[in-house]
This record gives sequence, structure tokens and C-alpha cells, in this order.
Amino acid sequence: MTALYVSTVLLWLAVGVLALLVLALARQVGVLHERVAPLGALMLDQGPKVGERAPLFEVRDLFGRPARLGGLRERPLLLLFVSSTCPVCKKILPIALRLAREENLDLALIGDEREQDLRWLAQGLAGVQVLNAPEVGQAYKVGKIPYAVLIDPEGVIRAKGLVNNREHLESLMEAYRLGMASIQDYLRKEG
Amino acid sequence: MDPVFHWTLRLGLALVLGTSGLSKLRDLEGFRRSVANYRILPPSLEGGAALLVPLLELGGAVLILSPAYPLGVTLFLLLLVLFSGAILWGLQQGGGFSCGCLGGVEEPLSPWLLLRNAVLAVLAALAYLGPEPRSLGLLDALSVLMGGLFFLLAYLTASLFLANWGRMGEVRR
Repeated sequence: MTALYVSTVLLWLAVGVLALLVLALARQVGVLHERVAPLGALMLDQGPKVGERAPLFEVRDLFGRPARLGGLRERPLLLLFVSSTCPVCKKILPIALRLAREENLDLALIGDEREQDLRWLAQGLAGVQVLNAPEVGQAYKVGKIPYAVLIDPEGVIRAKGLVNNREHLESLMEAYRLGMASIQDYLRKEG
Repeated sequence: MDPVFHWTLRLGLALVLGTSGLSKLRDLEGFRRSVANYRILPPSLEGGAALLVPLLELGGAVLILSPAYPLGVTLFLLLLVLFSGAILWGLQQGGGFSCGCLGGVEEPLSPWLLLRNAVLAVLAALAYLGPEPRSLGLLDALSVLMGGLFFLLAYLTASLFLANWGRMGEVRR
């Protein structure tokens, strides 16, 4: 009877330690993912793929002017999905504006919230289209913001991804120039 | 059912429910955002619901450990049905956001969550079977304590694996 008692206690202790170890391992894997994943703009594998034709939307912007997303156009178009409730979006806005000016892009801010909130976010931004268009975000399956999609003048998606900082945004331009979907794609092709 | 099994189930369920509730209360803003992502409730009710759900969970955890445990188990099952319905709805909307199951853990919506909820529901339903009378010793107390703890750790590990799995897809491609 004593042997049974002792072995049960021992086994329970072992199970407890093992359970803690597995939990710690799972946490470590999570931390590793956080460190490894965003190499350049993180592209969530959802929605229309890079190289596909961008879905065409003809909508009206916040000021009632018609806006056309996708299809043939004169300059590349950068779609930036934002929200007034996301602090990173506010940080990325001036960076996106500068990038659009330097790289000669059309910039469209796309939100999915109350119009006055979006208007507040976009105040003082000249020459930018601001649209409150949930359908666009749904078509691109945007799950995290700020999210950017770069569409070339032929209306083909050339790069997209989660853009949390300047490097992420610039990596989209880099991918466009190199003709690669993402830096991960580039690394794979270069071996 | 043997009282050790019965109490292990109850302790485990209470720990899982309590941890879910506490973690949500600690990250209330994150949970409110998760509720908003589901787009089930009108925005004016999101704040209230984000507070109500963790409080219900904590209340359920206490009830499951109290003599009125069948009530707690029923509350647990109702919450599971509610959550599973919300997850199904979210998946139909295209998913792509954190389920908000545990505060501070980004678990993307997936059908696996439904399987997990089903397993939890079966285990919870087993707790309805009352304990058979039998004299309990120290070893039984150890079994219940460690078994309950194991229940919680297994749940947390499964959650972390589901969270990591979502990120795996982004890295693997």
C-alpha cells in the first residue's frame, strides 16, 4: 500500500512539472514567433493574392467625391486601412503621406467606423482620399490594422501587409520595385 | 462517479472559468475590442457586455465550487453555447481576429475553438453526476488538487498552441 501511495505522489509531481514545462515551451514558441514573423511588412495569407487583379470599387469619399479603387489608373495606388481607435495608425499616417509624395503614389485611407471619427483621424490631410468603406476591408480580408495594399497602375496588387512602422511601409515599395511579393518571398527565391 | 473524478472535474472547470474571467478583467480594453470585432452587439452595448462576461465567468467559477454546483455547471454550459455561437458567427464573417477567449492571448478564430468548447462541454456535463459516497484520504486530496491544476494547465497550453498555430501559417507559407 505504501508503495502505491509513494508512486502516486511521485507521478502526480511528475505530471505537474511536465505540464508546466509544456506550457513554458508553448510560451517560448509564441515569443519566438513574435520575434521572427514580421520580417518586412507581415503579409497575412488572406484575401486577394499579390499578382492578382485588385477588386474594383467605385465609392464616394467622406466629402462625397467619387473614388475609384482598382482598375487602370495613372499612378500606383496605396490603400491604407486605418481606424481612429488604433494609435499605430496615427503614427503611420504622416509616414505614409511622405512616402506617397516621395514615390509619387495616390494614397487612399480606408476606415470602417463612424464618419466623424474617421474625419477626426484624417483632419489636415490634403490630397488624400478618405473613405468609410467596410466592403473594401472585407474584400481584402483585413484582420489587423494598419494594413496597406499597393496596387500598380494596371490595377494589379503588387504588395500588401501589416505596416506598423516606416520599415514595413518601405518594404512594400521595395517589394514592388523588385517584383517580389514579400521579403520572405525574396529570401526564398534567392536561396 | 467516484468523488475524486467528480471533484477534479469541478476544480478544473472552476479554475478554467476563473482564469478566463480574471484574464479578461485584467485586459478589459482588449476584450472590449474583441467583442467589437464580432459585430454582434450594437456599439453602445459592447462596453457593458465586455464587463458582464468576465463577471459571469467568475460567478460561475465560484458557483461550481459551491454546493450549488449544478447551477454553476449550467451557467458554464450556457456561456459555452453563447461563445460557440459567437465564434461560428465570426467565422462566417470571415474571421481573422482574436477570439478573446483569454485576455492577453491572441487566439485567432478557428473551427478548433469549437472542438475545444465541445470537449469542455462534455467534461462539464459529466460534473452533473454527483459523487458516490466513499471515505476520502490525503492521497485523494492530492489527486484532486493536482488533477484540477493539470486541467487548467492543459487548457492554457491548448490555448497557446492555437495562438501559435495562427502565427505558424504566417511564417510557413
